[in-house]
Amino acid sequence: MKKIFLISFVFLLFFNGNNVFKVDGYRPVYVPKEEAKVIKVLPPRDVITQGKIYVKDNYIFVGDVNQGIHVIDNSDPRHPQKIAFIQIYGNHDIAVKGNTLYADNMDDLVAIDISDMQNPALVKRVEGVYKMPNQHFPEDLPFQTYFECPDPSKGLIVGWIPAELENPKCYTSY
Amino acid sequence: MKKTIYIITTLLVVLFLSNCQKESADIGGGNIGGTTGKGGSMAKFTIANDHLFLINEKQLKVYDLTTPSNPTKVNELDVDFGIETVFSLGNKLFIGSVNGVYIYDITDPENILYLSHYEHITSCDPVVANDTLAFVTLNSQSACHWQTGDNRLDILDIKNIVNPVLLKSIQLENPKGLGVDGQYLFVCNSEQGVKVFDISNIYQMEQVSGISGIDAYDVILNNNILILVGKDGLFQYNYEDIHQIELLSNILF
Repeated sequence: MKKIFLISFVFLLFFNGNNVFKVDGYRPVYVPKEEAKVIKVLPPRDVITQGKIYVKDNYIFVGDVNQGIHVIDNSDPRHPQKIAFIQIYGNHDIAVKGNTLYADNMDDLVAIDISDMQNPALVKRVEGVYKMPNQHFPEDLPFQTYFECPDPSKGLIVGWIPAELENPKCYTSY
Repeated sequence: MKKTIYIITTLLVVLFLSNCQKESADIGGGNIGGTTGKGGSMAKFTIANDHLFLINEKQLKVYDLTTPSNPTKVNELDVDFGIETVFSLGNKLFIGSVNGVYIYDITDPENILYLSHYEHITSCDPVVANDTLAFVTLNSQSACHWQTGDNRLDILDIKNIVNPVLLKSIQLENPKGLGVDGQYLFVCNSEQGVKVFDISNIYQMEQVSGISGIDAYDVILNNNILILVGKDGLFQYNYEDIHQIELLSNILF
């Protein structure tokens, strides 16, 4: 009786209805190839992956890792307002001097004129400052980090962001 | 005659005053073409001396911003693999890496001088500094390391910039970015919030204040306003009274 119970228990452990392996890992950010280096302004939106911050005069910029920059009007620090999102794929950092915003965009450094925050204009692109984002796996992570296996049919990978994965098949290794 | 003297004097006064105003507009940044903003300690970009200093996977690259819309590369040097953050203070540049902190003299951005290197166990390293001290957090769980490191705050004496000396190490739970304003050091400690230390006497340094209940990744200190970012959102606090840090606003993520 005890044996039957034990066998049933082990059986159920492996064959229960909720057999999904969930783990924190990384997923690619896919973008159509022709869009990857397009810099443009979009309406304010939610933050997906909190990035770094930068302050210039009455603006606070909050990075959304590998996607772009949220622009916040901070004229009144008691009532900051998100006013725009600047699409800059593959982005990690920014700095501002005068009315020029410098940012990394994939493997390039870009200079964007932000005199009119609702009409940012790309004024210069310096190519090849960085390596292109890895199209196969997320770099600089501990071994055995799970990631969603890349699918080239979904577009160009502009970067990798943290995500909860279900039954991931890929993980980093030696 | 008197009238002429009056007119000339008035003109001279007006000219003098208008020149004064022009100069004060430059005091903020001292830069041609506009003032520079402020980044957090986790940055890989910094603007100093009219130049943009950025780090990629292993190099420091320097761009002249005299014409802001036309950044022009003027220098490039190999630093180390695993460089993670860059910070400038006056004519010194600090680069945090897996192998410690590298310190450079950037008085002439086209001829950068290597000054010194503080080594310690491998971690991701945001660094901030004032004239005499540098502050570095080390995190064992960070994305650039594989749990070989420690979790702590290191304080270095940099009075002799070519020979930084470790003064103190404080164990912390999950340290991330940091910022310094006068006698106060603000250290982000992830889920543990922010710890505020009084650094007026480094040998008797103690925590005097803090913010809890929010995830803290990095801070920018801006005229008595603390701008904090973390997983929960963007928070701003008034820290004029360090013992009564007042929440001004938040934008939740």
